[in-house]
Amino acid sequence: MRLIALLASLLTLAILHLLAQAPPPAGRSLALALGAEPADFREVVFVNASLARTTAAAVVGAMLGLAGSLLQQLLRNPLASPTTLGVASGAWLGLVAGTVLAPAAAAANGVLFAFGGAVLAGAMVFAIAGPRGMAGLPAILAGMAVSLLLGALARAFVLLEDQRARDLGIWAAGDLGQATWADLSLLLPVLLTGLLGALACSRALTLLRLGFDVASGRGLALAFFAPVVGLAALGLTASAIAAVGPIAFVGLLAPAIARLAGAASSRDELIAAAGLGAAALLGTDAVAIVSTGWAAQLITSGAIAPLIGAPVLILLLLQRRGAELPSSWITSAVNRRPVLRIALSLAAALALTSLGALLVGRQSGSWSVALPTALEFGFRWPRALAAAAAGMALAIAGSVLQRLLRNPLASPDVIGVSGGAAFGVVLSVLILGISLGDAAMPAAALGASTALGALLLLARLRPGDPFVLALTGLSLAALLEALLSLGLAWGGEEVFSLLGWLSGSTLRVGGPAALRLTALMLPLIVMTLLLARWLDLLTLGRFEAAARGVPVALAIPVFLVIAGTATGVATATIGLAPFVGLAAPHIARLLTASSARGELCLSALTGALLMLAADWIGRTALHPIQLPVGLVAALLGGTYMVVALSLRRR
Amino acid sequence: MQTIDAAPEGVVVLNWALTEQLLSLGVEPVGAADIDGYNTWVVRPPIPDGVSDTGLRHAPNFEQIASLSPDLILLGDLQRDFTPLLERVAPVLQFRLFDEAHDNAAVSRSTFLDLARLFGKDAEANAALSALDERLAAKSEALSEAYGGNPPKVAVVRFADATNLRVYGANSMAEAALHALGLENAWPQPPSRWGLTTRPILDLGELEDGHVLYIEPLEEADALFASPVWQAMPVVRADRVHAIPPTWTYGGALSVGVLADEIAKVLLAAAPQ
Repeated sequence: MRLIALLASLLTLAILHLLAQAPPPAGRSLALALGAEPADFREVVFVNASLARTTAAAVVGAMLGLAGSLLQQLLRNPLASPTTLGVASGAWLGLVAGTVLAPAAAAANGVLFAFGGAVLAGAMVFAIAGPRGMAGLPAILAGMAVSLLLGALARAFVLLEDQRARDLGIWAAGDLGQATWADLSLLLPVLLTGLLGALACSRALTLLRLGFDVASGRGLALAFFAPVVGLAALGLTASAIAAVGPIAFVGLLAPAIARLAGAASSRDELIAAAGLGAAALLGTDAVAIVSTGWAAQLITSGAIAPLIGAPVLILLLLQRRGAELPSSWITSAVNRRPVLRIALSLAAALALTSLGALLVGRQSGSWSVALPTALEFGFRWPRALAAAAAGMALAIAGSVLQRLLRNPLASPDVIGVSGGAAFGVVLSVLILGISLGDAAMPAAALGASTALGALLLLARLRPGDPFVLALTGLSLAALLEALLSLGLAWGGEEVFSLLGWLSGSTLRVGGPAALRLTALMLPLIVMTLLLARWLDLLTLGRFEAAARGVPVALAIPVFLVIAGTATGVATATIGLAPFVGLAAPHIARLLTASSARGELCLSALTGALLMLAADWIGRTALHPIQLPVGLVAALLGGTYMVVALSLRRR
Repeated sequence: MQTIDAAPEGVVVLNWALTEQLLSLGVEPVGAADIDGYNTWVVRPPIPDGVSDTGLRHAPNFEQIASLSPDLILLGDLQRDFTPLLERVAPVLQFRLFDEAHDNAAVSRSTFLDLARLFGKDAEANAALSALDERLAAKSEALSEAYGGNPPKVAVVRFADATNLRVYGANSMAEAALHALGLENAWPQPPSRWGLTTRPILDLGELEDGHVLYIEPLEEADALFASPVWQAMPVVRADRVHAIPPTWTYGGALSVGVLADEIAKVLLAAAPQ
């Protein structure tokens, strides 16, 4: 009965989707669909483009829904999906890298490059979160971090090869108009194989619901089964993404809605998720078609999907019942060395690196180590100071958030404050046409405080649910990517200065801006250090902290405001620098086990050191080309995190 | 803007359109932005060896620029943010070349003359512009003659991929080239900053008359031209789609001439015998 309702609504949506594309009269359309020879241009378009696009929307939607359901059931993680696990960013990176490094091969075999990138992303998330972490928040946090890192790398390719990579913008914006029958002849078999394979696995997936251990105990060869199902889900995702570009939220929401609609068994959920995915994408794409007709520019499904998906996700999660997630604070520290000695060594390293940043430069290819001229000094000190101060601010925010969320993988990017700042700036520049220099400060401040406000509201509505806190970040990241891709797709030049800023740039920072950042950041650090004891107790859990006299209802918003302000101020000055707020606290804990106060000090010093070094490397490594500081820092920090965490698990 | 007294000796130029115009005036800069990129995308006139690369256009290397000790720095659109920092090195002139609120093609001519005045090359610039106008007027006449006094409408596009086109509309250099040749745009688009609109290729099917010229490169050419939809397009069936070689469409006054030359060449070849 429910199956019939699903099929009927699919058919209705497909017809609506076709109607949006101005088809020939109904009778003639039906004849054409059944194989009549097209007589004029409009009929050729109907057969070859409109019908193909409608089919593609249904097929790609079903693939994403199925992939999402497979991932969620396999990992037993209701937030797992191609977008949240960073797989979509991996596919995008694979295709951009291919287009820049081997254009001919990438044009012919895009799907292989996308699949390669998707597998890379999946493997990185697995390495960071670990097998146990895949079922919970760690996988989502790792996915977010990997997504940021691979997205930053892809952005670097676009920046360095702007003219060539620009046209990929349309693909990255998720344009279903690019699907042809030739694509579909590849996609349809993949979907059918995936669907049949998934149904064949449904018994094993049901067994998995009892837990990995029970499933193994009852004879499920998990070591074989899990990778096969995982790769199948990645294959479905990569094929869909290679054909029409990344479309967020379908793979995440379709299984969730299927469960909400009463699909209880594993088999039912797989079928319903595929059907709902198809329906969702048909609806989304119909909106995109109508909007492109209205607007003077191309509007894509990839841009519409987050606009619809993000609010739906928030509604769904707010309704989710269930207790506080089991998460425990495991510190990675193995050493117990005196904090003071390590802090002094870090400070010495920071001083040395500052000297390097001020004295070492490159001119016309050759290195020079000399006292800088007054002019050179005037260029070097503000960017060095801004980089170090931003590094400190992000590190403090990361330390606070990791303890607040009781998760060592949390970072300032996850809570969406930096995403909100970036979104504000991109919106002002691309849509309102304000110059980047004028827009950066006010728009970033407004965006960051809006995101922070939403975060505080959500935290009040669902106290203690870390998924909810991760949610603004997730939604904003998807919105940001979609808007940027549209900017690239539209073909103006503004988007390239934006990309430079988004990758974290100290270029526009003059002396006053660097001093202002430092002046705003120092009181935040002092305040955090004064409240460090609350942080220690909150790390034990909210109830434990309350029992020991921490005013939890006050402490949580205070710490969120501190972390949000630090991130917002840093982002407004230098743009995005992902991974610094994640890696710095991690390195601090690796150096020594200590209380929150000691960790905060070490983390701040590490963050400053990381950013200062990154800025100096970015300025000199590829001279005369300058790499954005945030990009270099993300590469340093990201590589460290992946290597350190996967080695530790051995 | 500051005032410049004597003709500058060492100039650093961070915008490709300005680089192109300086070189065609016979002024060799000491530094220019992203020379590799210029040689790939703008191509003509070539940047001589010995000009120092100052980094990417949106991330200029201030220290490298300072080491060249220029006495003038020229900036283009989207580089205004760098003015206060670069003014420490040398006087800075920032040009607004592309803007929704002005006529890009008209501004490109006044920019060219401003640049010429700066370097004492007024005579050369005026001569170059009148030679350009004369050349294009002659081509306009030749076109009119070839088409029996009734030259076709023309749409200039660039393929973004196998699905979407960039259409050059009002306020684009391509449309300025069309007008200089006495031609009408077959696919008018609302004016915008860059004169560029992204549309699905399918919309090309609505074009009943006129010629379509697409600017190369087109990497997906084989797949696109073999598709049934492409084959069914009225303009394709009438054999009125032609390629023009890679040409920079965000250039200066003289690059309008380069575009117009290519357009005229293709249309004259396609004219009824």
